[in-house]
Amino acid sequence: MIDVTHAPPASCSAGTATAEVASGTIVRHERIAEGTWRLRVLAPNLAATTRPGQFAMVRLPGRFDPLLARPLAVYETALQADGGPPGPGEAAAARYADFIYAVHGKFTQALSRVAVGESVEFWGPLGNGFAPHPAGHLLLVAGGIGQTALLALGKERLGIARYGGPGVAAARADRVTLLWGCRTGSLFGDVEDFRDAGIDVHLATLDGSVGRKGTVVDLLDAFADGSAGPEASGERSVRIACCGPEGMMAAVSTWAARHGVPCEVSLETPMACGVGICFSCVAPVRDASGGWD
Amino acid sequence: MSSTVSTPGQIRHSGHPDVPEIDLAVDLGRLRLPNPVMVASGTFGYGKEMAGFVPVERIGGVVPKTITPLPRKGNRPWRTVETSAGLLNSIGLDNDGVEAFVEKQLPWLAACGAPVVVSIAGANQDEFIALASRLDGVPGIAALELNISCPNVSHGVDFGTDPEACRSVVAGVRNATSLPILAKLTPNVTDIVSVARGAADGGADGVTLVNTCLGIVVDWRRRRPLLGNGLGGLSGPAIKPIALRCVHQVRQKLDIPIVGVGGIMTIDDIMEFLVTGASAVQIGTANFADPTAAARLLDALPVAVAEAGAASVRDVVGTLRLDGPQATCGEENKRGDETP
Repeated sequence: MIDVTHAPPASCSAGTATAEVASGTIVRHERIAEGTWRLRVLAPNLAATTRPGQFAMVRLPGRFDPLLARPLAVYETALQADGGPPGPGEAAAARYADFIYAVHGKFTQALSRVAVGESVEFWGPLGNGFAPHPAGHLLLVAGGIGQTALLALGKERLGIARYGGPGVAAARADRVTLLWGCRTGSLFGDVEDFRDAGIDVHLATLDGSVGRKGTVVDLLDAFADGSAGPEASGERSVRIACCGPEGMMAAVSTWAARHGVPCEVSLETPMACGVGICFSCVAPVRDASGGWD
Repeated sequence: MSSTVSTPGQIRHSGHPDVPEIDLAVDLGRLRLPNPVMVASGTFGYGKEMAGFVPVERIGGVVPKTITPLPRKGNRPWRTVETSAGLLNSIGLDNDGVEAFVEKQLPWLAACGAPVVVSIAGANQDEFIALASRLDGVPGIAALELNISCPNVSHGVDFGTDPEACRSVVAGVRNATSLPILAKLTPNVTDIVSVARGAADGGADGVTLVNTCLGIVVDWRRRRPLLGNGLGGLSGPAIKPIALRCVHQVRQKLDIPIVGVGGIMTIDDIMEFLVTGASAVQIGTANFADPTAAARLLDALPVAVAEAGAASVRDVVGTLRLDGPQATCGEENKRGDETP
């Protein structure tokens, strides 16, 4: 009966909640990989303001069990029910928000049975999102369902989509590469979203069924050693943005520290509210006393 | 010294053209609240986090997260896990201490206009008394709620399980402050009435019934508890009958005003607590599931009071009928149990 939905980026402590609890009609809902679903919801306020790496709390209306909302990263936004996000020069505001989730427990099982035309309730955007650091080469490193926090970031950095209000100044990257690891190949869904955006995609699986046999750290090693590596290409400013299970992010962070590459990770801890009132989503931090923040 | 608050009661039109306006004000001993819909400690932050969702100034009483004399880091993650229609938590009184509260959190709360009921917890009676003394005379505080029932800190439940210890700590705090006092009790006792009697004998203005029910959730495959602290406190709709039972038992034996809390999600839940004997209620876990819950429920209150045939909330409190035939599970009960 335990339900831990993956991929709420960064801290839940918004502190500046201006959000309503909105109800939005589902306009698309489809299975995109093994146990993995993609949901598109009419959500004008959320879609118009969300920034890469932010999330929303999503809940099933009219029921006490499951009781709480779950944090889901906003994977993508769209102007139309069947379209994509606004371009960098476009003034129109996105009206739809996409979420991708893996079915793990009671909530996600129930969500997967909600039909197009029905509604979900949600509030957001929440969390800090990724910091606007420009980069020569941005490496998106995803584990499991962690790609959900990274597509919008890659598209924004490449200058092909705009997230947030028209006045938001987005950081840029010259190149974006996705390194994505899953347990097995059947878990990769909508990889074309990244390729279509002009992002180089490298996959790894533990069982070798798709891509390189191994983990994203093996992909990072190959990246560093190969002709596309930072030394070989002479790139000055490689950065990593990472989202996935904690152990995977720890391994990526260790790799990044060893190679002197700045690395930003998207932390998650089970949370109840998403807005900073339940004090659940703390993570251990390194300070003099050791503690949680 | 601070004086007892005397906030005027809110009058809300019921929304029905043919029913009178409803007087929402309630009294908890020396504490008058403009309406009975409070928010529970630990489920509303320090108020300002919720300002975007809820007009905080309308809430009957805001109980911010419990404060302790010194900062506490709280327990290791995970700190919450959902259960069937419930939430198990072990936050561990994570807070920055009383001085930080007075300096950084209280000014915003005090300025927003809702009565502020400050929840305090000490490791022993002296700490409770020291906290009460420190807060006595601080502007913007309407009352104190003594958290003598937190299950997530060592010895946190002692005052709440021993009637004499409960009486003693309440009496000590009563001597240290002129503020009205609520004692928040734990349901994890054999006889809730005896502990509530201890609070009444110690001079409490009211009792808050109840804190969370002690529980545990385990992952059998990993053979581990899921919460970082092992045990936690269960809240949410799953515990509502237990909370109602505690309200009922205390109401039948004692005259002390009661604040009911435990699993309130709907206006029908609120009315059940009022009818059973609570003068006010606290919205807790519902704030997590729906950050607008307190405002939504407050909006629904006048119509429900009018439906009960009353002109004021006070006239509804404790009107449960215990003689004659048992109520049938008829139309009245259908609504609330199925939808929030």
